[in-house]
Amino acid sequence: MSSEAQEGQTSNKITCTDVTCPVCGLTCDDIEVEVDDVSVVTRNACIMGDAKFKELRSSHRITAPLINGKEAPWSDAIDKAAEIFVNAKRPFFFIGSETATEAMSVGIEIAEMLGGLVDGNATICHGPTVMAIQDVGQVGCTLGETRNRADLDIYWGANPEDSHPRHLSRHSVFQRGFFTGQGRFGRQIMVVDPRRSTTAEHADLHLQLKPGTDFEVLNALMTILNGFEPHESFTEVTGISREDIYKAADMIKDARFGVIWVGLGIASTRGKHYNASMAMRLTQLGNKYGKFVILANRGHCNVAGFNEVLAWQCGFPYAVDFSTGEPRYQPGEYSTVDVLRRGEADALFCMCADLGAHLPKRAVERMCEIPVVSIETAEGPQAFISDVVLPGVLDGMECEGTFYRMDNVPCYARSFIDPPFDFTKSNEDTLIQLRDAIKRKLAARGKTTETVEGAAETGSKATTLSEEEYVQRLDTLLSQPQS
Amino acid sequence: MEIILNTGGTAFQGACVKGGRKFTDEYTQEAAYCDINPEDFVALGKPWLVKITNEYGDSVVLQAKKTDRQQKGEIFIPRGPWANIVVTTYTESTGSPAYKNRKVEIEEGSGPVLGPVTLMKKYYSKRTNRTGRTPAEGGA
Amino acid sequence: MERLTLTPRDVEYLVLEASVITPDAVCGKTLEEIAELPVLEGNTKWPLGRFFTITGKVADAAEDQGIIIDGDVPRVKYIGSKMTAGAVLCKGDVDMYCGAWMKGGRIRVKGNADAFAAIQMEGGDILFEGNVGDYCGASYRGDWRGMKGGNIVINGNAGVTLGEYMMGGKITVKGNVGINAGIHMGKGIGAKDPLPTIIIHGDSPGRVGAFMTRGNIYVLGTIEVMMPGFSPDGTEELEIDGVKTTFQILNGDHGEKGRGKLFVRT
Repeated sequence: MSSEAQEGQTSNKITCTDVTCPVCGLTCDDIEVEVDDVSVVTRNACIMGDAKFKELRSSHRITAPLINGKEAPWSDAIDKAAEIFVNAKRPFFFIGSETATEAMSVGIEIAEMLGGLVDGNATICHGPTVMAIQDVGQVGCTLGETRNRADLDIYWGANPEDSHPRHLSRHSVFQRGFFTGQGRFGRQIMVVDPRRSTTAEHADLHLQLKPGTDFEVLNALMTILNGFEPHESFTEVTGISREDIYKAADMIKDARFGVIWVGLGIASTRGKHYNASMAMRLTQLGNKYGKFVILANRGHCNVAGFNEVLAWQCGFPYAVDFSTGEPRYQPGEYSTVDVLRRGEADALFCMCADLGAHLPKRAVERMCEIPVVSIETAEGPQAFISDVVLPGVLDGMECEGTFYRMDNVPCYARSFIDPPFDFTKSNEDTLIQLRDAIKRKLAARGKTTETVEGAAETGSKATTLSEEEYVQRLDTLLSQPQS
Repeated sequence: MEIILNTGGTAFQGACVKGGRKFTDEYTQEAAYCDINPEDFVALGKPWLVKITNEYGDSVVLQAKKTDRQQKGEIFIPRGPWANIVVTTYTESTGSPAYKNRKVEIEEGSGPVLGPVTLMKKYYSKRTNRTGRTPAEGGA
Repeated sequence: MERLTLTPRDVEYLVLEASVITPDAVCGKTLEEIAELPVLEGNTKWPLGRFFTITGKVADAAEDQGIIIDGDVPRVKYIGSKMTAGAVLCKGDVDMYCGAWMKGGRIRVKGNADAFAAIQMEGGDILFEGNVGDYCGASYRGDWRGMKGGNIVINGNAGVTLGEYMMGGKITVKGNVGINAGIHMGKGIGAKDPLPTIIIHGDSPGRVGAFMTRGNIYVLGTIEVMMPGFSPDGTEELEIDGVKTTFQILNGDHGEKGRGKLFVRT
């Protein structure tokens, strides 16, 4: 990867080649960007990538910190944010994607320091697929292998034409690789989707199943590959004819290198991680006939990175609770939607994610009841419900950092321009400043905490009190302010 | 009419979000619609607007779009605050809410399709005094 | 049996982790010591006495200790978890992990229980008079060795993924279940081990016995969607809870080359 910045002669025009795109899981690294004082022109970027690069010169960029919707000095915003988390009993840290792993690492450190909870974008995205990897194991590969070798692409509940616009041309269907010189003509395409999506139009076989029956279809394929007949109710249940399912099984048997690309169609639907488990078991079974791999079409840039960082910092991929001092993992208990639905969190930090727009209503309502601190680049639902908004830096453009591609390959993204403000250099810098502010507050508070604990200890030694006296004493002790 | 709701991303909605145009009319156009199969569309009485209601009684009004990409008995709403009014928080204890494959009620709707700012103010109004920047709402 | 009564006090809290509400933790202690036992509210440690008024008598050994929770505690986790003997009676709702990792004794919950109840249970008896949430009698997340023994009775309905990776013991559901009942059942048990059993008196929306390799599941209601990996293998008349019923026997899950048996009432 090489990056070149040239100073133009007439205006402050910057031309950059081989820029890494910080938008979707593909992390394309061949973008060309031309930036001057008023406009941005990109080449090779898709519609989503282009939109993000245009953010460099947009009118709605948040360039000053906001407290309760009003612009405030940076130091006040950091102080207010630190105050919120120091006072919280169960602070929740949501580390979004589209930011560098270096920043995520600091976010996780803060959560651990405060005994809070930490979760990432995977929780509402491919979290179930990650759970399935733990459940049955994944046969994976890198995108280079799919590009150069795959002769069967199965899109299961995925619509890359919309979610990863350059997927088909760079890594699968149309790409002419080393062993796949014929491009589209050398590949078989199967799409499993209840909608006739734009991707499905390219398919040799489109299994238009009834929604929520992915599990049954996968199980039927495995049953056929194991040499048994699917149960008689199969067609009625899934809406797929026997002819089609046998054709699909034959395509799997005939493939030399098959890839199952799983999308949110299996992770968000009924059954969640067990759908992905079954898909991974099918992949393992497919390896009896040829090489078979399974890859998740991770939606956001670096959403895979969060799982990697959290896994190497504390051993678990997402939904981690540090309240006892040690990391504990339980999606369904410590995951964002469940914590908000159950009303557990009493302060929320949201970094580089629009939870306000992307969580279900009942979860957002809880966010309205508790203090929320966000790092945001543009106005939107998340900034709307936040008490403190810290301006975000665009990673991969205004600061450098590491992004994990959707096949878990780290890519280092360089910067080519400076942020429009000087109080922070990157989201990592913002978080380090927040962490230090929290540390200072905790240190100042350390003494008072000790005295309260000391009082409780001496109290517990006196065991001659009657029950009534005891309750009374406890009441007085507890009516004192917690800090 | 009972129908199955699927939500998901589209490239145009994605471009809107990534481009930070979340409080613009463009977002309303790209995310506040509902894809309906032609047969269901006729059964609903060829509506301009539809009202989707979930099992808790939360409802949202969206533009109706006829398309043969949908199977009969299913609707599709792009990812965004509109869809999430009717998405439920039940996660089967896995952390992933019911973005797809959830039964909802659909009927012909009336009233405006809310713009993003009005929508936030209406549904999450408890905090209107504590909001971030809220620019004036354009017509939706 | 000595009875210790915990009455919830009118104190607000987010959520409590009270793994100390077990006969093992309280036996042999004075009431004052029990009131000082630590419970967690997020990152903050509190004495148990802040949230409950504690009365009654304490026994010397866990087997003689009964604990009564006199009220609803829908946000108190880990009640009766890891207990080995004695009894716990909850008169209202309980939160997650009720009776988790339990090795012996008895638990009775008059209200509803939330998710992860009785996960990885090894022995003892639990009776839920209301409904239970997801993952009842399942394995801890990521483990492929689930419930090993004991007896769970649910008078109400059960959530999804009941008895995941079940290796032994018995679960009886009087009401309906969610999807994935008995998923991965029998994985990790040898040919000579006693088989795990699930009896469902109500209906299931489907995926019963998915990935199942060994064990028996009896469904007296209906299964909306049958797993394609099961094939019929005759009928048999069996006595379940004193009532003779004719069942269709299905073998599966063929997707996993399993030898589990699914009995569905004809």
